[in-house]
Amino acid sequence: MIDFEEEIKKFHPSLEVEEAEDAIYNNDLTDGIDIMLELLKEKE
Amino acid sequence: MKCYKCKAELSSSDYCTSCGADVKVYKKIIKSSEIYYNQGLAMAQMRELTSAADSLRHSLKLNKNNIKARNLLGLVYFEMGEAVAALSEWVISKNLQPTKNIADDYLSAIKKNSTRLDAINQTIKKYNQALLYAQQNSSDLAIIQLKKVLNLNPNLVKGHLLLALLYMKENEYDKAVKPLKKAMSIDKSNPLTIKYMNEVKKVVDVSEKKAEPPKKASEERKVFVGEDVILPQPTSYQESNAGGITVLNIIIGIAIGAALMWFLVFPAKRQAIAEENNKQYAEISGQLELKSTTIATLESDKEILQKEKEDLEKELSTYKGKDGIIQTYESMLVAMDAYIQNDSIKTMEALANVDTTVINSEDFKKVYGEIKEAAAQEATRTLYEQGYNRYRNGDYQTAIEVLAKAYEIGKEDAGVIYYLGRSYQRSGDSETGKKYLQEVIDKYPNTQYASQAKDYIKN
Repeated sequence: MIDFEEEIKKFHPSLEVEEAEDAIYNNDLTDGIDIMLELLKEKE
Repeated sequence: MKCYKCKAELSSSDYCTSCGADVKVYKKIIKSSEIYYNQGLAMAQMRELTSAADSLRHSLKLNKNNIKARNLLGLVYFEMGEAVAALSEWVISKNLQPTKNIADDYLSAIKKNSTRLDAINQTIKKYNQALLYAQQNSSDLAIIQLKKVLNLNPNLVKGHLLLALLYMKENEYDKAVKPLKKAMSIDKSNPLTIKYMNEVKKVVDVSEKKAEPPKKASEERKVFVGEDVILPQPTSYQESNAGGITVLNIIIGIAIGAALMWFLVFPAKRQAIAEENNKQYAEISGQLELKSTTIATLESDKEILQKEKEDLEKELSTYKGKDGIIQTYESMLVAMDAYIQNDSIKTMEALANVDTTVINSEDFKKVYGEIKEAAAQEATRTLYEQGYNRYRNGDYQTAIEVLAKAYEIGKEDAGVIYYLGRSYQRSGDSETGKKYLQEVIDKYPNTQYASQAKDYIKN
């Protein structure tokens, strides 16, 4: 049986166009290669 | 594949031939990123967009510079109706690779159509408002808002899901089927879609509705192919001729309005007029019925009055005329006056005019009887004497008149009848005389008058 109160928590407001810039800047772009380079740097 | 350190082209070796850097792990990361990208692409081709997005995000977590994966992720987001998320990915992609990037085309296409961008923004605002309504338990408002949103952005999967959830909350499971199917047609692997659909299937027979022909747009969705250029699919809203659509909408609106007028307003108006006419007809019928009843009552009253009039006239006639009550009383008064004067003959003449049938008084009848009894005896004797004297004098005609009066009084007297018969014989009317003489013989057989009567009959 669907629990509406629980299910509604799974929905989140969408980003509006005005908020796109902040979302882009705040995006964590750290990837596996960055981590690898970090590890190599620490190793050296 | 280029070296992360010197940007030289790498060979099959685990070391960079240019700078000697160890690229074994680097190559594995890049290859893993590519594997995830391929996986995401395959899933996107099968319209398993949620799974595709997950794979592509994994790909980008390994290698943020995987432009193909990022652009495809943006495209997947756009296909799911998440326009801002798509724009974000394409903007990042453009920044990471400013040239020879297909994301540039995507962004340009959107920027060129400011109306489309405004529409996207409005859609997002309305969706957020609908979500707020839903969180505040204003399901009706949320549903209305979501319908508007999905009309503008029919690919917004989470909009369909929220709409389905609201329908399920309102126990309208049959209505939840349509948005869930739409969501499923856009994204087959969305776990919420699958979960809600399973719930709906417990209540509604969804299989029957599967017979509905899929929409052409869904069938004609472009299949993602490899790493080649993938353009965002313009929706009907975007590509439509706005002017033409507006005119068409106006025409459709007018047609719907006319149809509503014809099927709803006119029948209602006609029904109202018919009801008014029926009401007036009923009122007039009621008035007519009332007047008919009044006429019938008046006619009945007239008949009653006519009968009463006739009865009164009849009653009045009993008081008037020769046989009337008034006349009877007058005759009675005359008789009583004559009786007081000892004039028995006049008393009997007056009593002959008294009709005792019109008088109901017992006292009247008693007085009438006593006077008549007393006067009759005396009148008979007096008339006999007068008649006999006329007979002796030979005046037989006068004797007949006087004796006939005595006979009519009714008192039994053999002499009166005898001399009446003899008077007729002497006057020449033998037959009438014999009739009276025979009466004397019959009524008084042992008298002298009877024996003499026999002799005169023989002669």
